[in-house]
Amino acid sequence: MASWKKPLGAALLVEAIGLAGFFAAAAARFSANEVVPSLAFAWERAEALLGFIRWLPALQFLGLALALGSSGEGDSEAEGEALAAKAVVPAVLLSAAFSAFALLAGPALEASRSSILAASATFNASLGAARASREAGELDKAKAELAVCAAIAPKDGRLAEETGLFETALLKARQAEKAPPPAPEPAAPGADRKTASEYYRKALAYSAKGDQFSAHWYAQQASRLDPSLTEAKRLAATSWEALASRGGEDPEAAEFYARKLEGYGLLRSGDPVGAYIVFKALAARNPEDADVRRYLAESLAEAEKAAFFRDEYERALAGGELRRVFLSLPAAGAKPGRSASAAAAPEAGKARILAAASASFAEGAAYFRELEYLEAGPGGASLALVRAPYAKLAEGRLLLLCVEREGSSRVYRPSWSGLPAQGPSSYLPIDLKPELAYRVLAARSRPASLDLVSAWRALPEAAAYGADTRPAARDFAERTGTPFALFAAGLLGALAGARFRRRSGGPGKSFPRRLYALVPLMAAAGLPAYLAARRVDALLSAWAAAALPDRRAAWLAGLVRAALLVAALLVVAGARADRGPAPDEER
Amino acid sequence: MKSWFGVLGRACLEFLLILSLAALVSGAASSLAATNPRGGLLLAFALAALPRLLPLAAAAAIFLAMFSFEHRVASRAAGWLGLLLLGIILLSAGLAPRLLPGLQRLLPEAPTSFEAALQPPGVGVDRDGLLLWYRQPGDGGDAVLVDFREPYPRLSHQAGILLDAAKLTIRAGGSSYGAAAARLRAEPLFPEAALLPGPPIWERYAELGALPLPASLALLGGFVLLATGFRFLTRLSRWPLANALFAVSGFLAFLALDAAFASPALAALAAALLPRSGGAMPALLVPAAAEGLLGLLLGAADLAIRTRERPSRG
Repeated sequence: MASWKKPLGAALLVEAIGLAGFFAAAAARFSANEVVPSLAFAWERAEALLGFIRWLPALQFLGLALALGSSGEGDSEAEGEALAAKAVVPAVLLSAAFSAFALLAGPALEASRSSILAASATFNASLGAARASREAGELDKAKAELAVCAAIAPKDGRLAEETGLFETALLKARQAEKAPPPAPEPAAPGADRKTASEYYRKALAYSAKGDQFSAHWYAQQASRLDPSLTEAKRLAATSWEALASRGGEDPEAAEFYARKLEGYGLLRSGDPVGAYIVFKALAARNPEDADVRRYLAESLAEAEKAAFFRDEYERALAGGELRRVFLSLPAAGAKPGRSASAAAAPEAGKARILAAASASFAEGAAYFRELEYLEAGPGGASLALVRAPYAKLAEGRLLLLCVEREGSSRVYRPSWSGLPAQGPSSYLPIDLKPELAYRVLAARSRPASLDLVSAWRALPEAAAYGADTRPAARDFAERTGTPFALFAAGLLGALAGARFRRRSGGPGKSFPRRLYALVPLMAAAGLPAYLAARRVDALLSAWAAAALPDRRAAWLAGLVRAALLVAALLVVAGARADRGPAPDEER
Repeated sequence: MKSWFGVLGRACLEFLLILSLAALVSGAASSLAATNPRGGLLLAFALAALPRLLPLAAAAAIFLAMFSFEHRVASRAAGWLGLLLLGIILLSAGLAPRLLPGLQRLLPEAPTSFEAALQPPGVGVDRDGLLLWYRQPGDGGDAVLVDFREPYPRLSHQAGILLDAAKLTIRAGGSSYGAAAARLRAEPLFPEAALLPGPPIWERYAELGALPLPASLALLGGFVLLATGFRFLTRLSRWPLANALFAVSGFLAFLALDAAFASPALAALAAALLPRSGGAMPALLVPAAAEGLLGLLLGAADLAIRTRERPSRG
């Protein structure tokens, strides 16, 4: 075997054993109270690989030191130096490869681990809330909580059990309750934008096309706006007769058509969510009805522009949540590099604050739970306060109207104070991209889950959005220390192995294998040194972030690490070779 | 002899390097308590920490020099004496300010308090679930409070706030809220110190100045003798690499043992035993004498064990 291959092989072997150990430790630490069982393997994998990354420098040091320390090649100082020089290639190769792995895979693993823990916490909380709500008879709430659980871990045994209990409770409740659910109230038509004659012309056009629904609705609107317009009344009557003839004399069919008209009216009057609820109910009664299918699709398309469905939010929960959301939105056009102090200066004018219990992200959108949005004037006067149980941020709009797609089609509406003076009440125009929101919020609560590029971008962005940047700066400085740690460990391991290698005792005499029994003890004995080095490195990152809470923290920490690496190399490289006894020298 | 002096000189340089690094690390940890730490503050803390870190650095240098003496010097007795001398040289540096009072004035005193500051405006700071954000444009100002500990709704907005820079609070809506600038915390450097049976050497060393010179010398002598007693670690196994790694844990064991000799329990035991010795020895010196004796015994045992190798002079 080429001389540089042995150190490489030994280092890889030690690292593989270490990785297996971390997997075993993660499996042993697993607890269903902390992590949902269906996510167990993903959590164990993330946990084991993160532990492996954290301890990689120690494993690298040990692997290379063991390989060279047991080489038995040459007894002279010069031979020792040549041996150390040969180990530089594998040390550098391994350090480069593992640095790339740690920097690229580390954030993704951290994000995965955090998401799993957050999703599991949400699952457990929702399951508990569902149980409590069922026992309290609040079945709607219980159902919503179960839907959250199902979005995270649909095959979980505890969920199946609770769902069974819920269905039994629901059946009992339905048997006890005979009155049908109240029909949603139609919204007032916003007819002021069209004149009666325009409506009438539309009604005529629709009638000619055979669309008696549209004809009847527009004719009714026209006659309501202008009671003198008798043609409109006539057209309304004839179109209704046409509709009624389709429904026949059956009162149930007539009621069905009346509901269709109601839904149509809601759709045309700008309440697509209300229309969707009506048509959804009608579709449940007669899914083959062509009008219902058409207007259900149309109202759904319109509703998606003004509102969103709760199941979208529930699906996003599977990716985990960021809790305690707070964003101070900078003035329009402000650059991300501006500091928070500058954003809060008088000239910044209006303050715009967004707070929420949690945020989850999926498919180019951000979903907020229990959102509150405040606008305050330069003098501190409160201009608007909006509260919404659920909100969705996508395409420059914060949608505040949330609908349950299935079942009761419950609508979660926002409450406004001050706004909107004009425009729709179902959304807020906000110049904030979900990706940017994620970076800023993650920089505040779990910066280690951001990839390197995102972390770099997040530092000035977080400052502009009112977040304390020091935790993110510290994390960035810490992660840039990984390559230093790996290179230092590799080179120091090679040097220590060469300097403290055992004497061969002459040609043909190999390293006594029984000494390998000491390896676990050696690893344990060296632990304090690695722990101390890690603590000093963490202190360095913290100090750099406290002194320079931006990107410069990473540069400062890097410079100091380089100086420390040189100092450590000087100490170890300068140490004289120390070799143990050769067998023939024992007396 | 040349090798002997060479090892001694190299150990002194290593001591300086270790002492400098330890002082800088200690300075960084201490200055992190400030809201806005700077290089000057770090240096002030580092210089102030130098004297108390001296025995720690000296012990580390002794442990490093053990391997050099073992390898470079054929006579183990000469090596042991070298380590002893090294310890005396290095630790006597700590007594120099006492002998030369002018030197004491050169060392700066560490700041004992920091100027506290309010959290910056425009930054939302979460304190255990209560998030506070404020701005102060000109005369007025307003604040936003988000109490994540309470059920929804949680956000409240207060205009006409009052900042109290002395108390580090913000008064808004009739209530006062803590608004001190948050400090970054780092992991403690040596949390295991809490598990030591007695005060570690860097805590006790500062108190030596108050003791009579002979007592100080006796305490330091015990410390050095115990450190040199750990020389057996260089030949604990037949694999030098293993011995080097064992020395890492051995160093911690030495610190723990040294702290144990300064434990209150041992001091009480010494105080109880002293009357029987007829008051020949001050209570303070009993643990020091025991520590030195243990070091001597370990050293003697190390010297008495048969040599299994002839040191290479590579």
